[in-house]
Amino acid sequence: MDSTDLTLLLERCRRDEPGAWASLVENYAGLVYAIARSHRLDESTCDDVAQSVFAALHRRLHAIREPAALPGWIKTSTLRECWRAARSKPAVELTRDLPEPPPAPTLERIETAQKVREALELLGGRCRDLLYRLFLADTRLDYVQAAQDLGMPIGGIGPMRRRCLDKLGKILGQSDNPTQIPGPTRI
Amino acid sequence: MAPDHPPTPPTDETILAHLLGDPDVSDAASVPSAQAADPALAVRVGRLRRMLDDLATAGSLAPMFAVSAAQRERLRRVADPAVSPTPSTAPGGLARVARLVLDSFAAANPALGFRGAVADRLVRFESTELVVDMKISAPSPDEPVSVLGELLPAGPALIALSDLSDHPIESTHAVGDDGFFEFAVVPGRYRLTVETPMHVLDLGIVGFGATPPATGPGGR
Repeated sequence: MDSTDLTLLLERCRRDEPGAWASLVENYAGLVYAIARSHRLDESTCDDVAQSVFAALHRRLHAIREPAALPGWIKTSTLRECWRAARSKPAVELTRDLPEPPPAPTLERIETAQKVREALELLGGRCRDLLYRLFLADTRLDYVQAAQDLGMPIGGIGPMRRRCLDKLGKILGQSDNPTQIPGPTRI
Repeated sequence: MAPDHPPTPPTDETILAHLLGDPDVSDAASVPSAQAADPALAVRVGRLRRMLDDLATAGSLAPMFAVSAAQRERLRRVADPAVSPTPSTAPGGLARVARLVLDSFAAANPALGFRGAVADRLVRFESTELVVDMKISAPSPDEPVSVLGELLPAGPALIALSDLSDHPIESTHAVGDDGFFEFAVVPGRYRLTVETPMHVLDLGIVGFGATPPATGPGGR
């Protein structure tokens, strides 16, 4: 979501327009849950974290001065809620050796994933559908399956993939800089 | 003897086939040698590779972003005042009060305290678990005060500053995994809190920049 879209969406939320808050939830719930899950919190604690973050956001809707800083604020607030939740849990002492869990994804990788997901939403239409099926879906499809799914000839998938990636690159501003969510958290 | 024709640069589709390891594109193997001979092509390939890496990251983390319909519905209902949860103000763990153990201004001239000082100010706060060092830039007209600091032991943390108005506005600044942090702030007095995954540390009220030093209770 670019800053213009975000500004408009926040305006709609402030006016309590139907569907506006749901859109905000739709855009950022995944990010909040991803950060919470990366802290290895159980699912009900992740629910609590998400609820606290969105409740705080709702209370602050009228005080937000810089819409572009919203993703950074959501990230910081989620981190804080995760830490609070973890601190409030009693420490568990392990009584036997357990295998090391796989390393949790870094915040930077979660931010990259969020940026890609937002760019795909902006892309929309068949391009979003194709790239989602090829790269993000639970079951990634090959050319043949993707062509069947989208009702296209197999020979059309390659050129379409190239065009769609080209558009995605423009949305992401793919340059020599890594993708990042804007940093300032003061909203 | 006829001159050699320069090789045709690979198309974007060929480059993609090379990067994605598509077996069906026969000339995909030509991309590495073409890159070596063409710096502009190497840049293009690098961009495409980064985007594919980002897509792969998004794909591998997709399960972590999953939000069920029930979870989504609960968050939508947060906007309903009848069911909105009560705000939580508890920090989820007792905040420790930090001691100010070093202040370069006070050390330089204890009789003057903070008054009359123009150099950068160095301060150190300590608790049992954490040490926070800060270098606060000297105030200059129309410039925000810059703050450089380090948290020990190093690790991720958040530093929250809230102004002392009736409706305090809070800004939050991240501390890197290496423990270092940097931010700029409008001169004034702020309440500072450092929050790590394990601890909450209350640094009390700290004056930044041009504001005269606090002499009342709690001021630093």
